[in-house]
Amino acid sequence: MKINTEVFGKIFVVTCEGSRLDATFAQEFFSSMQMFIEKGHMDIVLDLSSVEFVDSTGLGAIVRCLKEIDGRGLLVLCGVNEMVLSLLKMTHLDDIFIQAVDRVEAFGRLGAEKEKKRVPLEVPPAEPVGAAKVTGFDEALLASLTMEDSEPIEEINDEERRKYLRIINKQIMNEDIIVHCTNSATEKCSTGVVLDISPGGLLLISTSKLSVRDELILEGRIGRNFRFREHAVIRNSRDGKYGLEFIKPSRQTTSFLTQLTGSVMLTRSRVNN
Amino acid sequence: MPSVTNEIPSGSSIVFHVPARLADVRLLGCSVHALFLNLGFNDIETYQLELAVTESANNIVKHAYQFADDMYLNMKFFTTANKVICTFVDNGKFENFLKNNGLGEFALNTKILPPNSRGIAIICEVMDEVSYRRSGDKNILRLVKYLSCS
Repeated sequence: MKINTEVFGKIFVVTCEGSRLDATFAQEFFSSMQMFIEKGHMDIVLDLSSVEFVDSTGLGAIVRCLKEIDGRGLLVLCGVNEMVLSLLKMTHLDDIFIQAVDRVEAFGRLGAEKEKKRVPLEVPPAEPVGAAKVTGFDEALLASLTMEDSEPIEEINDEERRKYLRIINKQIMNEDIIVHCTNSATEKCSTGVVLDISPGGLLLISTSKLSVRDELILEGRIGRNFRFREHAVIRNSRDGKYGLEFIKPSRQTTSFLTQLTGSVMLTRSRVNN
Repeated sequence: MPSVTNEIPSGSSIVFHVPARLADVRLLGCSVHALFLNLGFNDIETYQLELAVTESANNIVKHAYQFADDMYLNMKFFTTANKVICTFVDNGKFENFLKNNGLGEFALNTKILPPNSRGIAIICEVMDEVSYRRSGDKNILRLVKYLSCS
């Protein structure tokens, strides 16, 4: 097995030239991919059209690449044959990866997914809650946030439709907030990117097909220090975006998000003034 | 589902004596691929059966022998009128990697298994019967895939 690389604009194409991505080659494959990612190639098309056999170790190496990218870019698999696809389905990983038939489609998918992430975010109407106290706010987290230079919040509708103030992800961190979702009933796993969040819930974008009323276990991280694991139910969905409401969120999460949204209120005041 | 073909009649068997190295497991995989194809399994079934055999052998190399040098594993490929039996024998450490198989809840278990345990779930998902036991100083893993009765 040999790895070839090509660059098309910002897209990095990795081609596995050989028929087997198995335990013999998996570590070498991952080390190469890790090196590419460390060099900043985050949007990768992995061309597997010549690969006829992948075993669990090879598959694990591809999954590790996805984890290595950690939401900073996209990994699109292309040319996956029906045998390898059967492995993805068997291991329930088929909906974790973006897949394309060939490179042309892969470039298209990558562009579309990137565009989807850039969709202007509609700031939902918010209740003008009083500025929350910021005492006790995690200083390490504060340091990791990018509030100071955040964009001004768009004007919001006066109509109060929501109970909680939401904060859009761009105002929290430069990088995406990735959430791992497990369906409570089927235990099917998927991932999503948080578009906005409040103490009451969050808006998620996901390539997986989720259904309204599905209950999910959400696991994610905001900043360096705050990790959360909460139950939520999908209340609405549109165009791959899902509105989720937390079910009995932990005190820690509620407190953290209240402080977070409160701190944004302060930021908004500063910007508006 | 395939039946036993003229090329590989019922009662046929072959024993592979394979150095316990990942590179050599690949040879075993390629060999059984041809056998399963000859038995009439389609491309996807053949791939999955090769996968199950490869995962089993990889487990022996990694877990039973822990990559020790100069070790071997044996695999007997045996056909009957209605099934194919792959029996693995090794002299390595006994590690009951089927403890997570959940007996009939493989799909469910696949989701909760850590990434480095997916091989076990794959074996259980592909094969119709999987058993693992210790006999003396040997580990015996038996994989069974049914053929059609026609």
